[in-house]
Order: sequence, then structure tokens, then C-alpha cells
Amino acid sequence: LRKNVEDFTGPRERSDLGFVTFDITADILNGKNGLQTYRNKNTLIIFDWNVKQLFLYLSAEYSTKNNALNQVVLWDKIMLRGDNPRLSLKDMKSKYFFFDDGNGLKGNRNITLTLSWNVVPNAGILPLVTGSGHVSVPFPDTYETTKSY
Amino acid sequence: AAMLSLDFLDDVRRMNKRQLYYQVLNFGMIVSSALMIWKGLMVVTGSESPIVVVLSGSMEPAFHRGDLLFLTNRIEDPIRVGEIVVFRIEGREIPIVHRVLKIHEKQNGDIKFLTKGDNNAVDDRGLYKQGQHWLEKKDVVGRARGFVPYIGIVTILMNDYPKFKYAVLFLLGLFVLVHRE
Repeated sequence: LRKNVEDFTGPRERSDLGFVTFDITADILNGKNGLQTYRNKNTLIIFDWNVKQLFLYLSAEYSTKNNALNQVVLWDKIMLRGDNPRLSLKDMKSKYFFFDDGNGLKGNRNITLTLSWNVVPNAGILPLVTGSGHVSVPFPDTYETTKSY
Repeated sequence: AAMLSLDFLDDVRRMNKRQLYYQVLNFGMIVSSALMIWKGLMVVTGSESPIVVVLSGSMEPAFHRGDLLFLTNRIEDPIRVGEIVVFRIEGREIPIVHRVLKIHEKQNGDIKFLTKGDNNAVDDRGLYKQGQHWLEKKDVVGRARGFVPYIGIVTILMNDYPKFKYAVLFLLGLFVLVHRE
């Protein structure tokens, strides 16, 4: 699981707005997070008979002066049983505006991006699983006013 | 069929008063037990409505109209992005089932969050009350922990077609009264 990002901040009204571009390479098939891997089977273990779909989301987690914990979903995707379980997305822009509640993005050195997913069964429990391999991203100290998005 | 209905009426006439009262008490017991189970669920899950029926298609393809959701609402469980929450907007009765998109939590645990339906193009700000930008813990009915498809269709049918509801209740009552154990 690897992610690379570039980032800029821009003030909008009175809250910081962050821009993040990222690559996601994920191999959901071989996830080792609480799900067993069978080394000699070629089966789709995560997508077993009771898994209807996975709701994947990339979230940014960080702390600011205003708020001890902030989590923002930047991007999400629904992966149905039968879809290609390997993701290789490059140069993705965030699907949702990355607004902070205040001005906590400027100069924030520690924004953690994590890929997680919600397993939706045909019937039964709805667990949330976090992927391994989160990436820490710093935002610069200054605002970019001329960046086109 | 005519023979069947005659037998049924004979049965009722043959029951003397004592047996009738017994059956009514039986019926009362069943209703109380059901209520107790429901209240017990409310206590265990911490939610005022531990089982809800999905009413709209805004969470498709995960959930469809008629699916049944099992909720918990324990205060110790923090609200985090990606979770499926069932919430009520102030002044509205109908609970909405959507996913948490954004949270901002203060040191003392006060949290404000934004939701969005998987199948909707935009977040729920437009659904919230006039001037309301965020949801808070108090708006939450519970977090979806498990689900069963289709079964809730019965409650939707009973709501949309009241005659159907009365028919079901009438048949149930009849069955209990007539069934002698």
C-alpha cells in the first residue's frame, strides 16, 4: 500500500482549504489487517461468499489548535465483488473539498493519510478495516494563491 | 372451506369463559414479552431505536429500501469517518442512514461531523436544518453494526398500506385466541 502526495493550501473565506494529489497502489486481495491470508490458495479471500462490496475511503487525520482530532474523507470508491481487487490510481485529486474547521492546515506538518474500507456483507456484521501503510504528509507554511485546480 | 369455518366457530363457542380469559392473558403475556425484549435491546445497545428499516435508496448499492439495520449507540464508541450513522434532524421524525464524511473533535470530546449518502452526489448539508452546518452526538440514533436485507419491507408495507397492517394484526390476534395449548 503506497501513496505519494503533493500539497498546497489556499485560504477560502476563513477556513483553510487543502489540495492533495495522490497515487494509490493497493492490493486488497492480500490485505493483512485482521483478515487471514492463505498462501497456497488463489482465491479472493476478502471477497468471500458473504461480502457484497467494499466501501473504500482515503481519509486524512490531523490535529489542530482548534480541534484535537480532525478526520476528512478525501476520496472514496465502491468496490463490488467481482471488480478488480488491485488498485493502481495515479495523480488522483481529492473528490471532496478538504476544508479545515479554521486555519489548522497551514504549516501543519503531520497529516496522516490512511486507506480504510467498510465491508458490506450480504447479511451480517458491518466491520470497518484500516489498511496498513499510512502516509504522513506536511502542509507548507504559506498559502498558494495562484494554483489552478 | 365452508366446513372449516363452521368448525372454527364451534371451537370458539365451546371455550368457556375461563378458557377465554386464559387465552386473553396468554396474548397479553406475548405482547409484554415482546415489549420487554425491545426495551432490553434498547438498554443493551444504548440506542432508542436499536433496529431500523432503510427507507431510501441513498445508500445503494450497500443498502436498499426495506433492509433492516442493527444499531448500537454506546457513548464510549467514538464517531469516526467511514462509519454508517443513523441520525435525526431536529424537528423531523424520519431517521436518515448515511456515512460520516468529516469530523472535528475537540479535546473535551465535543464533536461535530458531516454526513453523506453513498449514492448521493453531495453531502448532507442541504438536508440539515436551516443554518445548521454540522451534526452532533445528540442527533445520532445509533451506528449501524450489522444488517439483514429485505426483511424490513414488511414494515414499509404496513406503513404505506394501513389496511395491510390491520389485516396482519387481526390475523395474529385471531391465531393466538383460537390456538389452544
